[in-house]
Amino acid sequence: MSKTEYLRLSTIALVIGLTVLVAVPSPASAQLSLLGGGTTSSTGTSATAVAVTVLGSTTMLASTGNLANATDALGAELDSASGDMGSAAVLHATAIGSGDSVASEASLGDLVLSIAGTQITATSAYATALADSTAGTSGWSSVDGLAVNGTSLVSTGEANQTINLGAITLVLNEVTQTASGITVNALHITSLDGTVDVVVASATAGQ
Amino acid sequence: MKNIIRNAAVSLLIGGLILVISAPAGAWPETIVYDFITGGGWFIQRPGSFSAGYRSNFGWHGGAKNGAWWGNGNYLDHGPISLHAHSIDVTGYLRIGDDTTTDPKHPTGVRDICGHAYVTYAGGSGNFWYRVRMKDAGEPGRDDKFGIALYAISPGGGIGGNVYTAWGQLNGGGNIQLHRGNNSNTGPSTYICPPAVFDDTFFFS
Repeated sequence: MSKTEYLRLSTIALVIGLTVLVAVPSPASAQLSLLGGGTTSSTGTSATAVAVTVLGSTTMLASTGNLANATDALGAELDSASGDMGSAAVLHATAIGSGDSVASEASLGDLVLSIAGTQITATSAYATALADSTAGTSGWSSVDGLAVNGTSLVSTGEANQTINLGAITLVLNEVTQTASGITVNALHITSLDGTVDVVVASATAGQ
Repeated sequence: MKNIIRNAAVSLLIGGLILVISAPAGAWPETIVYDFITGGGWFIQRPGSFSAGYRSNFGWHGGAKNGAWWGNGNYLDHGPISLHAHSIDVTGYLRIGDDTTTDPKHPTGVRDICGHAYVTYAGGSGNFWYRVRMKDAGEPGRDDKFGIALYAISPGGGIGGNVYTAWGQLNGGGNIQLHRGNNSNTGPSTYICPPAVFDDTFFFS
């Protein structure tokens, strides 16, 4: 190969390399600017239908995992789930990135739980969370047909409605807000002795 | 000049005929779009549904992602038929009618998701075609609507007769959310969907 040919091929290779570098889009930003100058990471955005922790060991059912970036989309659907502690049906979770905002949601139906001798049932639970580059974070949840040992409990819709039942504590519409995101749990149950922690319909955006 | 006018008239005539054929009276326009719709909750089946008066729970999502139709879902009919459907694949995703939002960041509207589902019910099980309709009418979700129709798979894999239809409004609980598209929203230019058999008056009122 002559020196001229070598230089010509090198130039062509350089041009091709630069063209590829310019043409291939970089991954969408994982950071979304929040109102007030804060930032949130899209990659913490996820949803889980049920998370059960017993003695420090956690099992998650119908969980999306985290978004890879702000233009990712993930979903998880499970027919039903049952175990020693209870059962649920139609478990659903999604996490969606729309570029400058991310959203997640989780839901399930026919919930039956037995924790520390207390039976908790619900027709349906749903939670959603949103982190937007201009509007900030928001979220809400609902639990329908909630009953404890057959007695109906009414959700007020207010954030962090706490019901202490002695052996267990229920938190409805549990909202945890940080500078970079939000987590909304439709129902969070913990046992007094600290051995059991169950989160039903959890949605996180940002974080 | 005469030729131009004549050609224009013929074009308008053909265009009009095509429009009439593709949009029968009473049907809402179906358009391929590349965005997402997600939702979960429950409803009481409306009159005309297979198990009218009974509760149904669902969780479903659909859209287009990385060049393919995308989605999955579950549906449970608590009536005597005890029917459960789980999506196997997605063969189409359509906007029905026009979106109605005034806020570009929070679109509202109707989407249909189509594909195959594995279905179990009292007395049997098997694969069927499905067409799911989801309407996001805004937050918090009490005006959102969900419908599902199942169709037999004919010999050769085609779309057979409609065997099950149910729909209702989420005034009990849950939510349906229409999401703007993103960079992953590339999809096929063709789709396969069974015919819509939902009550348009209900979904578009």
